Amino acid sequence: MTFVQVEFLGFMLIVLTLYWGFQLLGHEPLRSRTFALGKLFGQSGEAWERRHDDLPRKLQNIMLWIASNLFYGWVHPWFLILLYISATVDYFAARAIEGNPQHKRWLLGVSMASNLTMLGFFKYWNFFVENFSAALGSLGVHPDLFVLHVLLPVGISFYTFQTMSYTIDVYRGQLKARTNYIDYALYVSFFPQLVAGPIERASALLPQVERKRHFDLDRFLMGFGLALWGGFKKVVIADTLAPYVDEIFMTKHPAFIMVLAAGFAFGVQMLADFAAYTDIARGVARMLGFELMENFNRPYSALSTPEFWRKWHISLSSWVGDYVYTPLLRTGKPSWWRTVGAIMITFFCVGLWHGAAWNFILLGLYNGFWMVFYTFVTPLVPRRLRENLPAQFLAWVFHTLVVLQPTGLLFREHSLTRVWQHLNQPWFSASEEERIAAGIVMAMAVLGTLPINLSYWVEDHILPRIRSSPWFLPVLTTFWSLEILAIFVFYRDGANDFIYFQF
Amino acid sequence: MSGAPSARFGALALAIVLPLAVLGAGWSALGRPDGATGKALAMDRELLEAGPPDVVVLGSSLARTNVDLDVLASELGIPRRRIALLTLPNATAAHWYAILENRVFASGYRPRLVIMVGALTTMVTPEVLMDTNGERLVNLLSDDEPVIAAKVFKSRGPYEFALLSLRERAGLLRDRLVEGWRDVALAGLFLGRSERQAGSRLAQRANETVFADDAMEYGLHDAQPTGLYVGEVEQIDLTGLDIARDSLIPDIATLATAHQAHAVFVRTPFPPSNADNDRVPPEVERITSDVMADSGAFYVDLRGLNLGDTYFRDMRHMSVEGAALFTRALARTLVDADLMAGGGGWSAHGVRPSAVTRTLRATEGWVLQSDGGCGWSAPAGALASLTDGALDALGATGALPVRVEAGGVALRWRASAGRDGTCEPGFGVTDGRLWVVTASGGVASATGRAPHVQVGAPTVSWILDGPVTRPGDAPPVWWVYPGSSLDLRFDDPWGHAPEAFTARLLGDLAGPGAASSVRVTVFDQRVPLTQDGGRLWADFKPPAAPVDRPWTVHIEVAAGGPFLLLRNVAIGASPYNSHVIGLPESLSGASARLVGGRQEDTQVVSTFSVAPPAITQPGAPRQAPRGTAVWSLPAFSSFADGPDQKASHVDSCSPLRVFEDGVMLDHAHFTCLDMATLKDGRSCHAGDALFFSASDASNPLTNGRTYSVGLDPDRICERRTQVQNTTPLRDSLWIYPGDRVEVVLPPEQLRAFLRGADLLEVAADPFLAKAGARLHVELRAGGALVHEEDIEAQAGGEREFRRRVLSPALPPRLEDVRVVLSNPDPHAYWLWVMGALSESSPFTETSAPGVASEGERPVEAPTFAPGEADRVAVGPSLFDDPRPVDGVRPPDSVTRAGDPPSNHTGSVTVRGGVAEVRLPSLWVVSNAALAQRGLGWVSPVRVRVGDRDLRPAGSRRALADPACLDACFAHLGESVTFPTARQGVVDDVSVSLSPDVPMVAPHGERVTWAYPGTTTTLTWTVPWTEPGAYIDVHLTELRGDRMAGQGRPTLRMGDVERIFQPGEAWSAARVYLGAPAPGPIVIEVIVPQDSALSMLRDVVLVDGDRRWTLLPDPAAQAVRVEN
Repeated sequence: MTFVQVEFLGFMLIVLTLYWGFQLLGHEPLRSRTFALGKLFGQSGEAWERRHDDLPRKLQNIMLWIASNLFYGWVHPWFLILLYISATVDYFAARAIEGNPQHKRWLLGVSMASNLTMLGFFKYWNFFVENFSAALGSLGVHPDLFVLHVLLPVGISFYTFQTMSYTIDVYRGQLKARTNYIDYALYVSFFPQLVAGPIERASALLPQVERKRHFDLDRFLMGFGLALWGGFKKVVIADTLAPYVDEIFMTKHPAFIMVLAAGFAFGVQMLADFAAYTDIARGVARMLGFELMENFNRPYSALSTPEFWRKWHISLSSWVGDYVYTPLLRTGKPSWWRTVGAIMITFFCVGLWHGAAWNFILLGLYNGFWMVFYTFVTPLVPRRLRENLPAQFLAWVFHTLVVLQPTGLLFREHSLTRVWQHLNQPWFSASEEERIAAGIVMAMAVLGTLPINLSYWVEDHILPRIRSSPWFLPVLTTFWSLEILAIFVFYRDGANDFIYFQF
Repeated sequence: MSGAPSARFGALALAIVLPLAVLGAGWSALGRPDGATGKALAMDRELLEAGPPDVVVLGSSLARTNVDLDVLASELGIPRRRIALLTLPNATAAHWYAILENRVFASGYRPRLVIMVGALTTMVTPEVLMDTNGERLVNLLSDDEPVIAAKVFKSRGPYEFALLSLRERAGLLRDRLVEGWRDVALAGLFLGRSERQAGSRLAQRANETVFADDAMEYGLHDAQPTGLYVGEVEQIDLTGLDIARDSLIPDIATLATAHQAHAVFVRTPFPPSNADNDRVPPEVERITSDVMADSGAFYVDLRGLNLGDTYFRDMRHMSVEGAALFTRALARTLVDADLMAGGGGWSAHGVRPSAVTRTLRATEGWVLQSDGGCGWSAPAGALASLTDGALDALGATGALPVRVEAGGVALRWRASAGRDGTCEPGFGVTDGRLWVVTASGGVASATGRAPHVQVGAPTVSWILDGPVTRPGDAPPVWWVYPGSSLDLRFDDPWGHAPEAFTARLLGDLAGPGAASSVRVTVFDQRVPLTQDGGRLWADFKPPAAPVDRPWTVHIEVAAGGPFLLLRNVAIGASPYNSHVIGLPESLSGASARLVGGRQEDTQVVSTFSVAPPAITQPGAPRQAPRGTAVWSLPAFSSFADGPDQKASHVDSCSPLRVFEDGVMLDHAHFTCLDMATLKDGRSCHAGDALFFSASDASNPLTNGRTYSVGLDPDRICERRTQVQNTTPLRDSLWIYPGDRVEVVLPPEQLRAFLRGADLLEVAADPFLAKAGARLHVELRAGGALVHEEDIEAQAGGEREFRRRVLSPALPPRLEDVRVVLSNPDPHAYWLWVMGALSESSPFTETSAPGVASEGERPVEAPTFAPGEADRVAVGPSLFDDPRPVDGVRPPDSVTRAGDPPSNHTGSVTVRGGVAEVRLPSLWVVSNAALAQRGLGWVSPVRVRVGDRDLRPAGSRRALADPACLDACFAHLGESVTFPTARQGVVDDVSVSLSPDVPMVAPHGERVTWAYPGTTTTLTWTVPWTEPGAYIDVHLTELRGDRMAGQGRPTLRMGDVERIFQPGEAWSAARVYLGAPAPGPIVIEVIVPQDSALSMLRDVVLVDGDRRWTLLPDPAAQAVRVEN
């Protein structure tokens, strides 16, 4: 099931009704009636009170856990097997680490090995086999290697990282191992963020799972509004741009100017698509009483690569920062080459995380290169110049056009040959029709950026002023109705999946 | 959110009311659909613009990519615009029904053929599979749709119509918004003004060029299915479906039949790697086929076409090459099944005219010849004027309007029948008498016994109830004989304004009698006729609008008048709207194509007066990879073969040749990769470089021989000849500096100019020519110079085209007409791409496209496109492989060990002159069954009567040929039939499977059958291969109900054995060749006794990056032999 399926609306209606319905058990008169019932069974008032106090939360968690499994296993129930292998291994590994601190290193190793093996097998095996076969083929050997003919389990990269973070935090002593499997399983499988993030840390999400949640209308409405805004970005912006971008990338020999325009449009599409997912996830979670982390913070306003990665897919970049980059940096004496190595390895991992293909590896290394560049060059720039507005604008132009553009190309084109074909052609030669084609895509991209930029402006300048006014509510509901109308008009049945599902 | 209570209350009320108002406004703005929208409008427009179609192709995107309309039109012999392709993405039978009902038939169109292309599952399922499909369907429906309501929406209720309509309207609004923004932005960007229409035109330009189909590679779209959401198409589940009751197949067939159209369901193949895409249980397939047959529809399953993955652009849709192959197979199946019958000129838009048929009482006066001849003769009467010579002069050889039958068998026209002493069956007209030789008369005479007197005279009838077919590709003609008339009645199927109505007629007069005896009336108004030579023209627009229906065109020839041979009758809003008789082209008069056409059109003799001029030698060649050599020839780069070169429109055109010690190496036009492997004197001209290899594979730089560059003395610009032994098309001719080329018009084409020829067309491309370089053109008739001019090259070297009206016209029946082109310029080269001499139409073509200039009449735009349409039209047979292949290596030998199974010997009973042997166990290899699967006419069954082997005939029609009597048989369906003169019981008939390996079928296809219990051994000599090279062998197993053996064929090479892996359409096996230089490759295909009868299909050798076709050998298939 996905967020932009009609079935999801029905699913959410049932989930929300049951979920908040369970909370009624904690209110009078239900509370006193069950108390009387408890006495009938010989329970002491205090014991029953204690148990009953936590009953709504427990029922909510069980219900959410079942709902999450339904959501994830809706089409391919076998995906759940992998999810629970990963979750269960880490559940027991964490408990064993806590119970046997003397063996915690190899216990962590077992956990890491099982997670990475599963991830490697399902996500990277075919890539490995293809390249290995090609290498052997060049030597004249044609082995008949086993190739997987299964779909890549959705969200495997997300939940594997999430469970790994739990084990590592327990290993580091930053988190206590959980004993309640249902709570833990809900943390791993929490449906709003399971398949495309944000990659929530156990330290942030588990406590929310374990704490009571109370219905708050304002919070609920804000969650609804956020989810609706996510739906708008996906349906109206991303899915409207997608056919135009796809058309250019399906052209056999697109002129450079067309590639440039398509790269720009794809950037807008990708942001709208991925941010949409995060918004819906955060909105839905908020309606359920959870808070998920922000994943995007106006990434295209970044002036440099380090800033970009602080604003783009924040949950991933902070994850690799904490679990890959920092440990690499701290394993020996600080030196400039260690920093470079740590950055490059980290971004190699980031590239590989995105997919089993050379373009993603190159994407990682390319970003690593710019990270190194900015890391070492930025301190050399005088502070006064760094704070100078025109200079900042030039830095933004440079970063957006020179650094980011190829990133989009590497992200979208899975064949390096195609990437080379795009770059290795006359940059300033195009027929009039090709310029028109580029103009079409640019026009659509600009159209796509309008609502996004408008939202930034409203967020900065309008919302703070009207948020506390009583007239905020009608403005909000009217805006929502316009969003619903727009989603209805722009919705296509053949709409694309969220781009980040493939990871 | 705080504030005073009243403000809070007001805000809350507004928070409810405002959104409701917005949503309500949106709802009413979208409203209900008010008629056809979106795709439906596009379809209407397409139909309207193209005019009434003869063929309608329906389907999903599969139909759009898999059906090549040019190939279909060419193979069916109809203009391209007569085919309407109406497709919707993911369309199923429900959409086809709705389109047929509400778009095609409701608009008054009456196609002959409705072809539905798709997977079997989409034909059978009554579902629409996805919501957007439902919207599209709703869009195509009228108010009253009992069939769709009952079968498609049975469980969903009427509310779905409303919802889907709303979605459709929303989609339209979305498109309007998005495209509106796009167009305004484009106009602003490129034209500096905000005008939507101008922007829309710009966008359309980009769509037609940058995003044209051939510029796209759909496989590059890497949207991956994630598995979280099952795509957009529901899985088709046919379980529990009563196909006869639930599917729309019977409804579609009934609808088509009710409108006099044939419904044809075509099951399209999928790539082998996605063969499961359309897998259904065998019983579903059988039941579907039965339901179609019972409903009167025709089912063509073309999965038997051996299309590998390379024929597909993605997992479902065919590439251009695949589509051409698929369409050709489909078209031939349609033609073979006679589905296009009804006369090539029938427009069939409900305009079938009523015809008058009379039988000549010719039984009086018959005389049986007793000496000096054989057979019967009788006074020919009016027929006496229709001698062979008279018919030849009309260009209507073989189109005598007489049918003679003897013993139920139609006799063949032989001008000298009864007079030449051979006594072969036939009939003819000589010396004012009609001569008829029956089969029995001929046999008696040949054996020297006393003539057998047949009781009763032959039956002779005039053919007036339909067109008379002519040999070859000539369109059929109609006769109106003296004392008869022909009425063509029409119901105005087009709904045109009556004042737009036009009728045109073109006919030839034969025999004595005045043209005034011919009278033509339309709407009871006399049509003025123009007589020019022996030709009669009419161009009529009624002065008063006809009101009454039906409209009638009445053509009458008074007794004692001439025979009228109708070539063309066209009616409609323009002369091209509906050709009742003949083809649109025939209204333009005859035309003789000299250069630039199909092979059969260019029966011209071209002679060159001088040897090719020498060209400046480029110096010593350089070493190239793999022992080849290369010259750099930048001056001649524009001659090169290849897609970037000017000459590429005619494929391999380079006239440069390599000479080894003065002897020309004649394997030119090879790909550079290919000639690097086959180093036997090949050359490759690409860009600046001319690569070549020595004739004996030695290194040209060290073998001591002298190499030079010269020009091809034949001067023929050929089709690419990478596939060995294919016949090149004589598309264009090079005219070198100083050349003089003389082309003589074929006499038979000259005879077609009844009014004389008055239009000369010449097109030529200048190469290396400066502006002003000249090509001199002369037209000579009977030795006299009729026309001459110089064609001057313009700056830029674009093609030069001249169309000249000859005044006076060349008189008819000239014997010696030649066109001479000479190139006096010492530096310029010309490629003569088109030349034609025509008899132009007297009609004023005010509406025809084309550019007119002073002194030239406006005619249709030139249609020459050598190497493009022609390549498709005369392409090799079905099994030709258009994939890029590096070469073809026919086997050195093919032998079979073991006997063909189970001969049938016995007796059969003759009924109505036809003997029939029932062979139910072999129906699956009958020609009809094979043709339905696109496998050609390759039945292996052979028939022997007594000591005579009968010849296989392609169709039942072919058996009617008198020459087939006791000589041919046809294997169609469950029986083998042959016409015989014997009576009663024939008791020495034996039926067997062909012992030939390989076997050439009646239509020229060459196949290698592998029978159960036999081993077929194939041997090739391959000089060397790369490590890892392998051979793939495909065979098709023909399994029927009665041929379901479980044995599996095996492929053996040396000690290696592979069992053929069964597939939906064919079985495959692969063997690796192992070490390099294996010497002769010998593979054996062993078919066990309990296996199915198998046909050995593709055998390919994949050697590194190169691919060689080992089987089929295309040599036997290059020419399709028509029955």
